[in-house]
Order: sequence, then C-alpha cells, then structure tokens
Amino acid sequence: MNAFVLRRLAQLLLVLWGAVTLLFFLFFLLPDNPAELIAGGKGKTPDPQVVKNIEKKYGLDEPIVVQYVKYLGRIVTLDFGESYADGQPVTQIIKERAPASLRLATWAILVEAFVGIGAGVLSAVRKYSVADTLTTLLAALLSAIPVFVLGYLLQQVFGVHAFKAGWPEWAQLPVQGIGPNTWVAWIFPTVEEFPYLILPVVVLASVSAIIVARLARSSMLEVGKSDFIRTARAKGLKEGQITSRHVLRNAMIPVVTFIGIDFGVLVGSAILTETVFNWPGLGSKIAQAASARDLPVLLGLTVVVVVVFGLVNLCVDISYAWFDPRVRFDEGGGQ
Amino acid sequence: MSDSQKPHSRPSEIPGSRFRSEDAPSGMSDGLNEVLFVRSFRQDSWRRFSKNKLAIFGLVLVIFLLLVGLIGPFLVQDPLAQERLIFKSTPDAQHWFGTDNLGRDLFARVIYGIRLSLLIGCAVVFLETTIGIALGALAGWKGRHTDSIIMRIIDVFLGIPYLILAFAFIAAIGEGVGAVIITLAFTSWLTTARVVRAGFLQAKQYDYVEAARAVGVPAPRIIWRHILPNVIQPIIVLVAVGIGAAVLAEAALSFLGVGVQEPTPSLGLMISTAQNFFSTAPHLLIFPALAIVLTVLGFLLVGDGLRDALDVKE
Repeated sequence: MNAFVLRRLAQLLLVLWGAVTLLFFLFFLLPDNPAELIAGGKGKTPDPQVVKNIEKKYGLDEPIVVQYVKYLGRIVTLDFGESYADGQPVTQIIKERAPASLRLATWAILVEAFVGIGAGVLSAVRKYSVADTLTTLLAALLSAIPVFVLGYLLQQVFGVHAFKAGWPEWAQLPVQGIGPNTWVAWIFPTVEEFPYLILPVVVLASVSAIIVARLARSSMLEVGKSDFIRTARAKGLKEGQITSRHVLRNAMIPVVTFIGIDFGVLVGSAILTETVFNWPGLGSKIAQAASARDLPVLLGLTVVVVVVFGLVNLCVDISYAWFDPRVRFDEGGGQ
Repeated sequence: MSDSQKPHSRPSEIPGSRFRSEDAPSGMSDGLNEVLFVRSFRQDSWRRFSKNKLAIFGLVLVIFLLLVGLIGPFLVQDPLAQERLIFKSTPDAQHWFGTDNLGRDLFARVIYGIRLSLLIGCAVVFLETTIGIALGALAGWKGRHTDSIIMRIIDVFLGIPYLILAFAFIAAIGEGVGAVIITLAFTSWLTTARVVRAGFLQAKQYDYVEAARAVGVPAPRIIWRHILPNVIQPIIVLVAVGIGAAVLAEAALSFLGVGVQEPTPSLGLMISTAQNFFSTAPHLLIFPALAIVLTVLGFLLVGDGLRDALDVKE
C-alpha cells in the first residue's frame, strides 16, 4: 500500500514536470514578446529602453533554456513569480483565491455524487419507469447545453425574473460574487453566503451529476446480473439488503473512477462557471490570465490545478480497496 | 444505457474477429463467409440503431443541420452587413431572428455560425482521429520504449485539465478559426489513441495476426487489413461524440474571448456578446444558444445510438 502510494506520487511528479515543461515552451512559442505586452499592451510600440528594462527585470533577455531551468528551480521553492499585469505575487493570488474554488468544487462534487448516485440507483431499481426515461432524456439535453448558457438561463430565472415576478424570498437568488465571504468553517457557509453558493454549485454539478446517474444505473444493472447476487438471493436475503450491501458497493467502482477523471472536466467547467457568476476563485483568474496573456499567473495556477487533479485521482485509486477488498496494490504497474 | 437497448442478445463471437461461431461452418470458403457476415452485421447494427428513437431523432437533426450548413449560407443575407438604426430589433418578416447589437441580421449569423461550428467540428475530429490512430497504432504495434514514451505523453496531457491545455495551445499559436481547430485537435486525440492502442495490444495476440506475420506479410499491411478493422467500431462512436464535443469546446473558447474573433460569426462569440443585452433583447442569446444545443445534441444522440448498436463498451 505505502509502496503503491509512493510510486503514484513519483508518477505525479513526472506528470507535473511534463506539464510545466509543455506549458512553459508553448508559452514561449508566443508570437509577441511578453516584455512588450507588459510595457504597452497589444498593438502599441513602447519605448525600446523600457522594454529592455522589463526584460532585464523578469529575466526575459536570457536564453529560453536558462529561463526554463531557473523557473523549475523557483517552482521547487514554491515561488511562481509575479503577475505581468499588476505585479502581484502569484503565490498571493493562489492564497487568496484557492479557498473559494475549493469550496465551490467540493460542494459541486458532493452534490454530483449524492444526486447522481441517488438518481442512478432509483432508475436501476425501477427500470423503464418514468423517472428512468426522464434521466436519460435529461442526460442527453444537459450534456448538450454549454455551461455558460445554463448559467445565464438560471441567472435570468432566479436572479431577474424571480424578483420581477415577486417569487418567494428563498427563490430569489444573488447571481454575482460570493457574498460576505466569511464562512463558518472549511466548506460550511454562513446564512448570508448560502444563497450565493446555490446557483454556481447547481451549474457546476448538473452535467456531471447526470452522467454519474447513467453510469451508476448501468453499473448497478451489470452487477445485478453476476453470480454472487444470485447466490445472495438463493440464501434468502431480502432485495433491499442485496441492493444496499452487495450490488451498490460493487457498482460504485466505475462511478468513483469517473468522479475522479471528471475532476478535470469540472475544472474546465469551473473556469466558465466562475466567470459567469463572478466567483472569486482560481478559475475566473485563469480565464482572465489567459486572455491577458499573463503567463506567470497562468502557469502558476495551472501547476496548482495539476497537483490537485493528480492527488484527487490518487485518492480515487486508494478508495478502490475500500469498495472492493479484492483490489490489491502490490502487483506491479498499479491500477 | 447500453443494456436497455439490447433486446437481441448476440451469440458469442470469436474474440476480435468479425466472424460468429455459428456463421463459420466448416467447409464454407472464407471469402464468401466474410461477405455474408459483414453484410448481416451491418444490417444487424442498423436494425438496432433504427429501433432507438432518440438515435434516429439525432440522425435527422444532424442531417438537417448539415443541409443548413451546406446550403443555408447561399440563401440568407450577408451576415456582416449592418442595417443602420435597426439595432437589437425583434424578429419580423425581414429579419427572421431580429438584428444584433450592430444591426446585423441574426438569422444569417446563426446559419453561418452553424456552418462554422460544423466545419470546426469535422476538421477537429478528422485531425484528432488521424493523430490518435497514428500514435495509438505506433504504441500498440511497437510496444516497449515507444509504447511507454507515448503513454507518458498521454499521461501528461491527461494530467492537465482540457480547457487549460487549450488555453496554452491558443496562447502559442494565436487566435482565430485555424488556431481553434489545431488547438482542439491537439488536445483531444488522447482517447482515440488509448482505444486504438488497447485494440492493438489485444489483436496482436490473435492467431490470424501471428499467421500473417509468420508468412511474411509486411507490417503496414497487417496493421491496415487485419488489426485496424478491429478498432473501427469504437472509433466510429468517438467520431460522432467528438464532433459534438468540439462544437462545445469551440463555443467555450470563443465565449472566453480566446477563440474565434469578431467579426466572424461564431455561436459562442454571439452568446458572449448577447449576455450584455439579455434583459432588453433575450433573443440575441436564445437563438445562437439553441443552435449550439441542437448541433451538440444531434451528434451526441447519434454517438450514443451507435455505441449501443455496435455494442461498444465504454
């Protein structure tokens, strides 16, 4: 087990190094000179002396390979440089913005898992019922709606129309920002923040929840056909017991795998969701940095995301053993 | 989903080959047998596909949108021409979808937007499938170091969330339609490559492949004739789903301002502009959004239907 975790951590380091290298060199294929961007923005011709000074300050006058090695060295000490746009240290941006993203993502994953698995189990137990057909239709429709369109629609309904039409208080929701941003503890919002959380979480969780539901359904039906379920039935166990103890646990493995893999998609959706709802997290900053070509910020935040993504998948792999004790980690090659 | 639409349980197949055990009685010549079976397998799949109402709905949608994209631009007004003093007008006889914030005919822009989305979707999937098959085949056929290098590259690509990777590629090659196509192709070949590689690893062990090698058939011919047909079914599914995914991704990039640029009519860009006027002119957002949803939905439904009809495991 320990050896497995260590090997996976080593693998994560390799992926991280590869990702940083890939992104670093991609950014330096850039047609325009970053120093000119800092000095005057796109399309302007700044004073050459100013450009030179900036190049010197950020070390942009050195050969790319030297810059690359220096960057790697700084990353190891957790120094990601400063924003080209406003000179703010990237580490500080991460410290300020990571909690908001983490809270949003955690709630989205929780909602996705509970609603998705619940709906999936329901439609597996009541196969071909109205609810079953409804999830299938909803699944197709929701995966075809762009995240940002869904965001706008919900904003219009609960943020604008609800106020105009005088809907009950609880259905009138704020559509921008995070509220007072005080939080009780960790992911738990105060009463004031709770309404701010609802719409972004719903948007972020919706697409994945519906995929989880379909996956849980087909996985439950698949496991339901296996021999040990027939044995359980022959032993005279009640249907409820069979479902909760034998089917559910075994059926969860592909579902949990998906939730892990889906985290990458979630990050992408979070970039869009945070932009639409003006959520002060990493995602909206990544979008800003990308369109402003603020390389240190983009690269630094990406490193954080890649690390978190890798750790999430590591946790998923470890959780296999809990769901299915037959899984062993000591065979070469991992999962 | 796959289980509900498999009313006819298929008899067991000889793994990897397109022959079914009962279709290959001894004494029948192989060539004849193959012709007979390929046909009936196709008919079989088509029967399963056509029984799936959602899939047929998707197919009709896709054909309709392809016609719109191919013929539509010749029939509508100029999507760039600005009508003076008619900004954000509501739909009427002259402007079916109204006009946008610069007085351009929204109907024409949506039609051109659909054409652009389909063009980007098809181009991306063509490139992505080519790269995926090439690298997947290389990894699966060569094995050893080639395989592990390619797999590590895939690990790195998969370790970076997709939209961020797209940002990086866009930053490197610039903005615009061509850049979007290249970016999306280079960020989405991973699944195809993995599927092809897995198929190759399995097929390499089949007796008929070994026999072909033993009698000295050159490698490219073995790959083309004997191994690739084994992975063609999952690839067909990936192509259908991939076009939908590419259309969504293009919309997201354009929406965030790093994809297709004004004045090119892109659905994502139209939505991004329309959000500023949503309370006064909601139709500016609704029509392009509906066009995206229908396009993506069509390809997703066809993909799902194909997955069930061809019995491809996810």
